[in-house]
Amino acid sequence: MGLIVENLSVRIGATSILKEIDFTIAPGERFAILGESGAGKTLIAMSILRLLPRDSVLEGRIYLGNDELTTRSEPEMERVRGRRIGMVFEQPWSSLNPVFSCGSQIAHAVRLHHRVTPRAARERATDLIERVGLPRDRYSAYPRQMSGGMQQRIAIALALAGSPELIIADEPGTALDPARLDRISHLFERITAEIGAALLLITHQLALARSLCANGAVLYAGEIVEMAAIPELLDRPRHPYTQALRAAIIPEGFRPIPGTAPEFSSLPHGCRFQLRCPFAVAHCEQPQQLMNGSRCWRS
Amino acid sequence: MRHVALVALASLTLVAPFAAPHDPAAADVSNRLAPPSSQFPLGTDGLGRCVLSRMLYAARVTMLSAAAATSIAMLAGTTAGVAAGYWGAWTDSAVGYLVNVFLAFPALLLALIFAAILGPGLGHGIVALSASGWTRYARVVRAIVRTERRARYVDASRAMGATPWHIVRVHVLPSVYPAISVMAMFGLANTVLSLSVLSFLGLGVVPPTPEWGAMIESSRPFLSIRPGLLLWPAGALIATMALLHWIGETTRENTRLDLRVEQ
Amino acid sequence: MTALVVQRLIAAVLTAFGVAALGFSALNLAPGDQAESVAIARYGTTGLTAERIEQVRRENHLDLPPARRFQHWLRSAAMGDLGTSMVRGTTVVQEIRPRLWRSVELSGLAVGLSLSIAVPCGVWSAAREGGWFDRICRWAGLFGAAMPAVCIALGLMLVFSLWIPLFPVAGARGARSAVLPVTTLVIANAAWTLKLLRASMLDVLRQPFIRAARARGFPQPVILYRYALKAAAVPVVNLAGTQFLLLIEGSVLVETIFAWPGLGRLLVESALARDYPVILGCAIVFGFACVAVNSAADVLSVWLDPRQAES
Repeated sequence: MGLIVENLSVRIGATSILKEIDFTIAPGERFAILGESGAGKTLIAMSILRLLPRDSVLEGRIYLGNDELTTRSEPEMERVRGRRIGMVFEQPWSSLNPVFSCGSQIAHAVRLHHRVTPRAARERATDLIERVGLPRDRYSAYPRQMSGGMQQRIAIALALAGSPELIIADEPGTALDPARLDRISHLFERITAEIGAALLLITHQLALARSLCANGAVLYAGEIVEMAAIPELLDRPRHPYTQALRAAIIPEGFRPIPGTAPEFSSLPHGCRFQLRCPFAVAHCEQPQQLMNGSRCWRS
Repeated sequence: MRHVALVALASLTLVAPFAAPHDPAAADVSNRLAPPSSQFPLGTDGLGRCVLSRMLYAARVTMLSAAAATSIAMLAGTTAGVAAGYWGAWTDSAVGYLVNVFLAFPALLLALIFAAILGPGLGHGIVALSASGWTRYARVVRAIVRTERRARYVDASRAMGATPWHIVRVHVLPSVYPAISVMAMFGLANTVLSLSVLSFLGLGVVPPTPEWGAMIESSRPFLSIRPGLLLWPAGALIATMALLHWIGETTRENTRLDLRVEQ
Repeated sequence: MTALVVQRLIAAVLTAFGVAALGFSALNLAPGDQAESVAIARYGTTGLTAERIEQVRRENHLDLPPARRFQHWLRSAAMGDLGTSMVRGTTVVQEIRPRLWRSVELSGLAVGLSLSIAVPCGVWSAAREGGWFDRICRWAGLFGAAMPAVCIALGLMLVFSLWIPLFPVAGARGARSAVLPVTTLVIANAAWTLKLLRASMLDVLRQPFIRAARARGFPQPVILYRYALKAAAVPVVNLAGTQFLLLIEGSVLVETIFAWPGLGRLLVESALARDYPVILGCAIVFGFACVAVNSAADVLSVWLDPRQAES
């Protein structure tokens, strides 16, 4: 089952954060949302799961398969979360409950989404632990007894507990060296293929997106500024921001883009990147549309 | 503000002989349970004694006794804590074991048991309260002393031939003062309450010595006719404890601020 | 886990021994000649002769040095003989046993009620932080915790026994006479537990793994009562030990005020009557109860959260 996000806008209090987010993920496809931290990437995930703060307003439509999610009640959403959509959080160690063993947490999740006996749930949890590449005896270990990499795999196993159609992975590569990054990338690849789930990858690491995903969108200050197939996006970027992103990665590490991302409470009219864009002109103050995958009128 | 409150409390202990209109032990059974009047502003109790005078003298008894008990506890606890923290090894284990045994009991229960064993009487009550209160200071002081002991300037001092007493006095104790002064305030509040409980049960002061707890106890037979006999001492007790707690809180805030300024 | 339990058990035994030694030494530091007091109690001041005092002294091993007396006492205590009451003539154990059960009745009821009120209220007020329920709970907690038990007890007595004669003022006949004493204990205890549990729950609910649990589809009640509560319970259990001890302490007061024939009241009565063996017996029983509670709380908190074992 695929995901269709249609014209999603999210306001928190009086501040508009996400504006007209539009993208589609086909069943089994792996899609990346790229951008700097603070751009609103995690908020998209939270919107899909309807886990927004109390004073937020969500407009637009989100379709998981044939089901529209934005109008569902809370009990209905509880049946979607975990079971049809599995989320792997940024900093996975903090998403694990410290007072339960890893295996029992997974077993809880399995029993939550499937009607199985406790023993069957334990079996399945042990299988999941194996499937993410850990030894079976890690079942009874507590989160604090494991390394960060292992904790992340447990978090992935948790996301798989409900046999989801869509997996959302929020910054899975942070704090991982290139070798581990590579292994995680392969893990996601293998798992999504095995269970036939789609993947929504949220990251600022372009290399990770390149190795995992077919298509992607670049998010800046709550707006999608470019959307295309990954090779196109990364090798032949059309929006000035994507170009700057690419240029920021040099062999020695990073060369930061001049300026800082704007506060959501004081966004400029029209293109949100204009204050940092080397090519900005007066026309940029007009609202810009996404045309041919790019929101810059110049491309 | 805090100092004003402290002064007010201290003066409570002194004011009684001057402000009390009558002798607190002067009983006049023909005038018992009288309502408030110009002669007896808070009325009289079951034995015809002036309630106001008893209240004022009770304040004195309570504050002085609580101060005595707290001081003894503080002294004993600090000494034990310094010994345990400074010399370590089996001094520490011995003190630790002793503290654990004392701490097995809740403080008031321990005081009750000691008072039960020693018998009624204000002196015994003070001993009992000291015995139940010293452990808190011992623990805190020990922790502070242990940390200070490892400081470089202590080693430097010893290398220069300073005696342990000198080191303790000059280097260690200054860090101890702020912590125990805060604890002393709360300790005082606790002791006031505990003393009242002891007296209430008959194990603290002996009649006719006035004390709020004892006054509460003797009000019991007359609760329905003169609830004031309960309410005045109870109110005084609660107010004093609240005041002491407040002083403790503000002292705590201030010591934190001082430490931050120093850094 | 078993290693830990054994370790704590040994520590408990050592502490209990220390408690017994402490009680005994306090007894011997007490002023007055014990032999004389016992003789007075037995024969009256008029029947007091030097031989009788000496006889009492020999009977009770009071002529031996304290250490050997302690030995004797320990030996008989280990076999269940705590001595004889000087005032009543019955054995200490006979005095203590029925009263111990009555105290346990009171405390047990109080703890049970207290937990059944404080836990749901604590959890719910944390879950609905800032709401009207939360505000009520916070005020109730503040008030209940700040009032000394004496005042609560007497206040209740004033209102519900004297002004509105609903419950008996004293005694232990029937369930109605238990209401006021139990209520007093519950008010103080539940208030503390509520405050602590609420604070602890708020801390836990702020943690990222709670949001992760919601994202994984766990419904709110499950998150609250299974996930969050287990993590939040640890400081509460640690303090529950202390709370239970405070309850034991409070029961002494409550039993005296409401004339409930429990162990606390026996302690006070025998204190006023200077009945040393009974005083010591009560002290030892209380001491053992306290040590047991502390050890149980220790073990329980490790079971709940294995991280505790490292402290």
